[in-house]
Amino acid sequence: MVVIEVDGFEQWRSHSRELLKRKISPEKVTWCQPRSQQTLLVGDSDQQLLMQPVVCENPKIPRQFLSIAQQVACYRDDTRWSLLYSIAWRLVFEDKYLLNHKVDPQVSALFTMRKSIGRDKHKMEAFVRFRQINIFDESDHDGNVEYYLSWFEPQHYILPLVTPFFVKRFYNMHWSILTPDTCAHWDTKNLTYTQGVSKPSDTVDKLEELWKVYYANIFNPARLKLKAMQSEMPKKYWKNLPEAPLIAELSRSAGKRTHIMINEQETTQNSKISQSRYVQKSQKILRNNRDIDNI
Amino acid sequence: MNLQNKLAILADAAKYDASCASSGSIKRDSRTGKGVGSTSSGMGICHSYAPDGRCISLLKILLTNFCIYDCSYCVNRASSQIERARFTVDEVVKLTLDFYKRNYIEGLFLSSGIIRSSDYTMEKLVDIARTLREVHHFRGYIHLKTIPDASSELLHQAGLYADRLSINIELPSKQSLALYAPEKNPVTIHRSMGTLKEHIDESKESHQQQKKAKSIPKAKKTHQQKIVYSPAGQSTQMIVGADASTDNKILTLANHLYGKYQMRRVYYSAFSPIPDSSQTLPLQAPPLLREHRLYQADWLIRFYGFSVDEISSPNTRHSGMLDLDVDPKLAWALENRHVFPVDINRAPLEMLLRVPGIGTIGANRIIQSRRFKRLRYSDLSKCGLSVKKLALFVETMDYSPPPKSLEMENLKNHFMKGDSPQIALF
Repeated sequence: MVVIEVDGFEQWRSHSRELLKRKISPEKVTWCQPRSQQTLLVGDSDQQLLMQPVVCENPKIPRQFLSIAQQVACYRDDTRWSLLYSIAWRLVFEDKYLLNHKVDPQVSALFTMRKSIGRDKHKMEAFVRFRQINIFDESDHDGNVEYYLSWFEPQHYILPLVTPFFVKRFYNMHWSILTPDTCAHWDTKNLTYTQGVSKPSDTVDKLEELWKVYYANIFNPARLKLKAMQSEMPKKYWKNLPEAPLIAELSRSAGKRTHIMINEQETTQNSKISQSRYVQKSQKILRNNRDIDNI
Repeated sequence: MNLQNKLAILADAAKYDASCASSGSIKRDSRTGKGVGSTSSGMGICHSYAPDGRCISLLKILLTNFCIYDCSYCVNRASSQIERARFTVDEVVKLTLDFYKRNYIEGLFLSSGIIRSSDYTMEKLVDIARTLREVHHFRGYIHLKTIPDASSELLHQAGLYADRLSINIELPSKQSLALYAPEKNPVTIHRSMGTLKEHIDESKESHQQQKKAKSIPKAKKTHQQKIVYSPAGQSTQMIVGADASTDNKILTLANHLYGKYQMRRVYYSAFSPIPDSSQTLPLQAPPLLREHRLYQADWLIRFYGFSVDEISSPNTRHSGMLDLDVDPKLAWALENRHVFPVDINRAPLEMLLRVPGIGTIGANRIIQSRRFKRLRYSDLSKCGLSVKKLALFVETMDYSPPPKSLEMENLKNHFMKGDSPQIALF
């Protein structure tokens, strides 16, 4: 039995390479977080591993698998490392086309995990909200820097997977994304990571009021479809979305607003003739009014 | 009027446009400029969802809701008594950038009521797009709604700054357009769509030539090659349920537009009651289910190899309308039971795609997996398929549907009730 400590993809990858070289089968390997109980019991296992003879000098793993493994490594479940190793083992020693075998239980689990990671990534790119704060920076010549701060709670350990997206998009901004697992900071040149934090206290960004005005008015009450909305924007994300508190009231009043639109017509409706006169008049005003720029 | 009130009015006025897509542009980001923004060639991002289930991807607003036209179905028509407002160019630019920097949006979807003249209005729209791109180096998504009567020169400029352009076809027939939108001319609409297509094609061609030139050693990169005319193509929107056109007519027109102008998307917008609406239009809740069925049918035509008449033939008992009770693929299957059950282990891709419950992804998974082994019934759910739906339409090495089940008269009812038809059979 070999016990391996692992806390990231690169580490898993280099350990796996050594294990595969020695053809150590998946059942004989236990993967665990660094400094957990198991390693304390078993002791220094990396050394034991390296003492075993190499039987396969250059185990070949398809590149496609490595790119999937890199993503699945962010899955929030400790069984991921052993699953990844089992599949790597089977790719090397059983069937290099294993990944095409979509109905295989392990392959199917792998793709389910990747899908979950993909969705989490996509949702994080969508639902991160920055708040602008002004901070004083001595190194900057005018002192004040517009800084953008975000707090987000991803389902998986995906921050390193999404930072390239934010760097490309907001290359010329100073920003930080804080999560409970780890934090990323961008200063227009360098990306740095620091340890995770707990939720910081709220700061105020005036723009949020405008965003809420937009959200409330782009909604069409005649088309209320709460289920469709929730399947794409599940409630677990709501706590960090500034617009979410509006949902309840918008939904509640939707029926009434629609009813008014449909039924009030009869009372406010103009007759056809006066309507067409009104049209002609207002069109004429608009056409002639050179001051319209100032309205 | 303060900015909040303007935004409230001009967002409200823009919400009847169904499109909010930010997809299919070119790869581009802020690393090379001084501003913000990025786009990709793939899927767009929905940054939020309104309680109507619609994606909020772009800041969708009108420049102004003043309008000299009087289209009956439109909330902004000249005769409507709603409150009016107008943004300045700078206000739209600043709002877009401010929203973008907070990751609220993918970009801007700008449309406008027609003020003074088509050209005057179009000029203002182009002005905003140009300012965003040239002054602020904005690399996010811009969708401009094009005014059909605007000059060809302005249409050309619009495409240099926008990712996508669109012109609404509005109604499915010339007659309805004449009736409900008397100032709009179907001939101009089609001509402008044609113009956009030409520009898009030309730009693509010259882009490809430059790519070829690039591969020849020593060919110098020109600045020009970066400009792609409306890289995400053009789209349009049709209002459903305001006039009496059948689904067959709507889909036939859509199919024509996809073919002739290479539309990326045709949006169907269920006619929605609007405040202070015109007397000439039906006062009713929007036909959302019909709109949904049209999108499903649109998908079947574009990605599943169905023809318009196969799914909405004018001669069937629905006389050109889609069945609202079941989706169009299931409806087709129920009308064409003789081709079922389909053998999962043998059927070609085209046939798998016609089975209710099998989508494009599922069909490809089946084809991939059956190279390894003959598939059993239990393998189907592992391919991510809805077994409940396809049970009667497929056979595998260890399964075939109960005898005579496909001949049952009330088969449709079981699907409508949502229970598995099998339960009812035994």
